[in-house]
Amino acid sequence: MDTWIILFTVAALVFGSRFLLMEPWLPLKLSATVQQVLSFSAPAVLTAIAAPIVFIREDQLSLSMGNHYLIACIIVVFLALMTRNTLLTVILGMLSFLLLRHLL
Amino acid sequence: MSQAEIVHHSSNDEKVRSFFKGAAAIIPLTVAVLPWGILTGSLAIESGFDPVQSQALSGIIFAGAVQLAIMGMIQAGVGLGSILISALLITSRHFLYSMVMRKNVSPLPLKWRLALGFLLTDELFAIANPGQLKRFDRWYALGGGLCFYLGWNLATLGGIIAGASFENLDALGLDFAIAATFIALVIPNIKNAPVLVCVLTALVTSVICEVMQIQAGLLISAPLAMMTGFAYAKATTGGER
Repeated sequence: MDTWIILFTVAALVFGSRFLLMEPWLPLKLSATVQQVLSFSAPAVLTAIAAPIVFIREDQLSLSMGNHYLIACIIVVFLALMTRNTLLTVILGMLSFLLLRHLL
Repeated sequence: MSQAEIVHHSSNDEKVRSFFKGAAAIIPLTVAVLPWGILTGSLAIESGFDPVQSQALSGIIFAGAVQLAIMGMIQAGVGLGSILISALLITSRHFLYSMVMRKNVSPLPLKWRLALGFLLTDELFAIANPGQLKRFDRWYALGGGLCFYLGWNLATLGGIIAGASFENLDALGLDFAIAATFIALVIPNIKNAPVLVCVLTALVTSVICEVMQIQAGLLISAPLAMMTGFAYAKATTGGER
């Protein structure tokens, strides 16, 4: 199979998943209830992507001090609460993660 | 929920300002994925793609997780059907994003729908979703989307040029950068109990799914968390948020 064909097919699929449901000709009516459920989508998805990265080490739940991800995550939560600045939080959070990695 | 509020600009000056405001808002997220972009480019070369194909992965697919997944599969000679099913599982969260963005984007002209649809990544959704951006602004979204696209593609180019010399880049804990960004975005949005309930549900269920090695855990945990947050809001305040 030509690599280019695969690349374009996958690209079309990804684009479709992003584009299709925003199309006005699609008869998709979202009720008030659905809209309210959808209003929780950002915190739900972002947390569901981030949590396994933080809590799972080698396919196991890791709640020990030896889990750098977990310690750095707690630091990030504090930074986010105190600074309310995403860029500062990300940069300081990454620095503390790298420090933890070297120190522990 | 009230009717979508949409910003209409009267002058080009305001459009440019919104564009750059959107770009500025996505900078932290762009910084966090730069190492990933480099890794993606370098892995593509390592997987046997030529430089143009390696760049095209980021340039036309523009979805990091999908790119990384299909690279390995193409390299292993897996059939197109299996590749598409994997890509569909990974990309399925975008259906959710576009459903959320529908009320703001569907009234726009086709060229805007095509552009914002193509650019609708996790990161653009994170800065332009209605919870984050009270009044939707197409120029803000375009600025954010294009800035992120540029950052992702330049990082990929860097990885392609460096080739396979970044072998242990993935051992640096790059995944933490993604987690940190998402946490930094979620925390300030926990303004009431229903959102907290939603976040805690997402946290617990996504970790359980991962421990149980469920392939598409996100498809279970995210909707479950959304519905739990909604149910909690309904039960405590009669659905008023």
